[in-house]
Amino acid sequence: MGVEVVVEGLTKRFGSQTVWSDVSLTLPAGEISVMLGPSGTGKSVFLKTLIGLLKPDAGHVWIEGVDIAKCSRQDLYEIRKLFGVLFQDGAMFGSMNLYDNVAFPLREHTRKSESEIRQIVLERMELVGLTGAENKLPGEISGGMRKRAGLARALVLDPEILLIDEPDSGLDPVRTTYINQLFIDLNAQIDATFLIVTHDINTARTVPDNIGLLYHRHLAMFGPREMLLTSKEPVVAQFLNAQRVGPIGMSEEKDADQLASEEGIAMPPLPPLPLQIEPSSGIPRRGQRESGAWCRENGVVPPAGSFPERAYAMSLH
Amino acid sequence: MSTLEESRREIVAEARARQIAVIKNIPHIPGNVIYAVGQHMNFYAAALAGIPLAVTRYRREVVRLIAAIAFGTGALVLVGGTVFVVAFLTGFAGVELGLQGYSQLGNIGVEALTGFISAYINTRLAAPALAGIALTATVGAGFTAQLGAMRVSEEIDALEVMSIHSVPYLVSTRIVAGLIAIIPIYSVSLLASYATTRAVVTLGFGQSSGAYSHYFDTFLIPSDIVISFIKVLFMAIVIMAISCYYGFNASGGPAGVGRAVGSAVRLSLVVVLFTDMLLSFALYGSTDTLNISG
Amino acid sequence: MALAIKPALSRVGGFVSLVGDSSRAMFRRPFPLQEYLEQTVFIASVSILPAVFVTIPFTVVVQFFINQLLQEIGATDLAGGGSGFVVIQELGPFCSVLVVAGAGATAVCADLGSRRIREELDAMETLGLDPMHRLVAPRVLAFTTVALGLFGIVSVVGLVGTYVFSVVIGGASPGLFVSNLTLVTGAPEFIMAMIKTLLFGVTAAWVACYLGMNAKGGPKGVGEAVNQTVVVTLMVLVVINSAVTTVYLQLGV
Ligand SMILES: Nc1ncnc2c1ncn2[C@@H]1O[C@H](COP(=O)(O)OP(=O)(O)O)[C@@H](O)[C@H]1O
Ligand SMILES: [Mg+2]
Repeated sequence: MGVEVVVEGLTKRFGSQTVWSDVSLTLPAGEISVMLGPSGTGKSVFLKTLIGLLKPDAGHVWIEGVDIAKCSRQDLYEIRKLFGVLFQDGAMFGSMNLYDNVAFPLREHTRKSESEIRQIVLERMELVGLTGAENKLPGEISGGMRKRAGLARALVLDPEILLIDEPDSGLDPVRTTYINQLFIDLNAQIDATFLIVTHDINTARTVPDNIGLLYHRHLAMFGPREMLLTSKEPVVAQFLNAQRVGPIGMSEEKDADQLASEEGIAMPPLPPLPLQIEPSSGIPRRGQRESGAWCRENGVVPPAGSFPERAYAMSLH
Repeated sequence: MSTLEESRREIVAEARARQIAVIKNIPHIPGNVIYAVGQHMNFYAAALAGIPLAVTRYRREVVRLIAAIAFGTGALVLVGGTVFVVAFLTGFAGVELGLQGYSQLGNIGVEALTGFISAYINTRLAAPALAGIALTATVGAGFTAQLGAMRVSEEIDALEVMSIHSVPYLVSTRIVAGLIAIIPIYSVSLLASYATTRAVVTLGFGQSSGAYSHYFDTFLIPSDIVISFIKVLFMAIVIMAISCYYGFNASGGPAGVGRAVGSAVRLSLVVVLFTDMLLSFALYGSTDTLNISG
Repeated sequence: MALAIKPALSRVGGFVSLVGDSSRAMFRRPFPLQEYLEQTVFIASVSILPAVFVTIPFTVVVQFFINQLLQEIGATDLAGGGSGFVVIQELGPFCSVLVVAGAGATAVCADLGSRRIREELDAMETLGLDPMHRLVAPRVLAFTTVALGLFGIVSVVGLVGTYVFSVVIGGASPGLFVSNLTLVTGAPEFIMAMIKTLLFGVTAAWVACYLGMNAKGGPKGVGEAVNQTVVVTLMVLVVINSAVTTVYLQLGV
């Protein structure tokens, strides 16, 4: 279960504007990865390129031996059946109620009977906490509900790869925590490969197995969560810890004067690393690694106070 | 106050920059026009090629759209649906024809012929032209608004991602549904234009309905009516193709959808009237079926 | 049904109060001249080309049928009279309307609609600026200006078009065509056409402003508002058209 996505030297331009160039990374099968980046750095464009909605100007996206960037339309439609995508505002069809929206992929792509469809749809709606809202129209519900409905629709064909664009934009912190927990539980249950695009640092710090950071028209870094959280690379450290000191300014990049004036100021120390959110069932996910394992294996000492619950557990013994 | 002044200056500078950009763009216009025509043609070809898929795989969507087109959705329900709007406009064309036809013919002493004018002008000219304009405003603008909203809220991307062929599913189905819905819509509209002209002439100007009917019935030619429907069907295809193009390719949020509707209406009006003109030349050019002077 | 009537009535009420407020605002000093000029240029820029290209086929096709008709009743040389009548009295105002509704009103509605959605209108009111005074009044005047200008353009294009069609292509006598132009179309008819055009322009502006400023619900809402604008302006305009014609015929000038 879960499919690996290999991205090689991907470059995307709009006219003369390069969105990003030479992006290479591998989304490991069954793991959760997060793509971070300031607004407007092309996270959504990246996601749409992975699914073939936008054609890259160079590079490849390999999925099960097929190159999304170059394959025929027919292959593209075939390979897309492996995907579930949650768009930024849910992209629910305004002319259908939530039930029909969620049932739509089943009706179009399977030969299931209406009663089988009903069973699957109701199950998915329950999973995202929308039981009872089946007859509502997308225009009548809140943004958070639309997102959850979009998630139910993305899940209905049991995708191998789930792409999620800014699940947390416009949600309050409590709802964000809930939806993050939902991703972890879902991953435990269906083992799909997840890519979550966000600029919410808290999500990036606690949810994924891997983090990537898009910045200044390239992929600044991609790797295991603990690698990025302990990185001293200025851009990564600044963004992941939401600091003002560093190369990122109000308008994307700081100018030379501003950087020069900051030269003497050292980057503030890294805050402690949080634990990764665990599945609520208590059964570990397939791609999950013990918090702190990466640091130990690579001889990196995490900042004091990292992985608080474990520290607490150890102090008991 | 200074910030207001600043922002005003910014706006002026922005406007000036836009003007300069427009002027700088002038040399690129011919190339851009050719490119745009190519884009339109590709889209129309894809929409036509999608019709078989629309009538086989997406038949359910076609059925839903037929009802939606005839009775209108959202915006149109408030003004009575497409049927009502189109019949309203052709009906008023009939009123105008009755008013002007009767009094102009009266000037040369042949107002008795107004029934003939109704059978002739309503069928050949007024009803199809007004129907074309009305369809641009109702069905056409409606399609652009629907598809444009779907585009900017990423619903079209969502379809594509679910491996649904978005052009056949959204565009070809609309064209098929529109062509089916047009028949009853235009039937009602043509009747409306006849009815209003008759009402103005017989009730308004007091011509005897026997005299009116005599000339009307004599000169109402079945082949004229068939050609009238053919003209409207052609116009409908043109309108729907253009409107879907602008909706399908809308961008730039709510403002972009509004702009797309405006562009679609402008181009449709022009193309529809040219279509009307050329079809009239082709289909009515050689008819000599009328012989009133002899 | 009752459910549908109530919102319809409140819309009519809202429209009437917009008409009143903006009419009063037109006389308030200082008049937003800049906005008026910008809007005039803007509306003209989206309307002129469509006006020309709508008028040519429309007048030609009408002339085509009128000529056929005249042929039937054996009065080909009246083509000029038909042309003057068709172009000035009927199609001139109608084409300028069509374009004012289809091009100008849609553009203005889209603009105001997206300002509403972006909450710019709320921001204006918070700053103590009255949208009726700053936005609606100058647009109403701009529409009127453009409609009259378009009427001029449309008339010239239409007369030239029908002349070419009847005389150059159709072989009617040029002298008779020109001298018959004024046969059924004189000063009173011209004035009637101007009055039609004026009324069309003002109404289209009010409808576009009202529907634009009351757009809601994101992209779909703006799209629908623009759609409604074309439909409603067209419907109102044909009513005005027939009403003015009736009054004119009653006067019997
Ligand atoms: N279809 C498009 N055409 C032209 N430019 C685009 C298009 N889509 C996105 N862009 C540009 O690409 C850049 C990245 O956009 P996006 O991926 O939406 O950023 P984000 O990281 O906030 O999701 C932006 O500058 C945007 O203007
Ligand atoms: Mg984005």
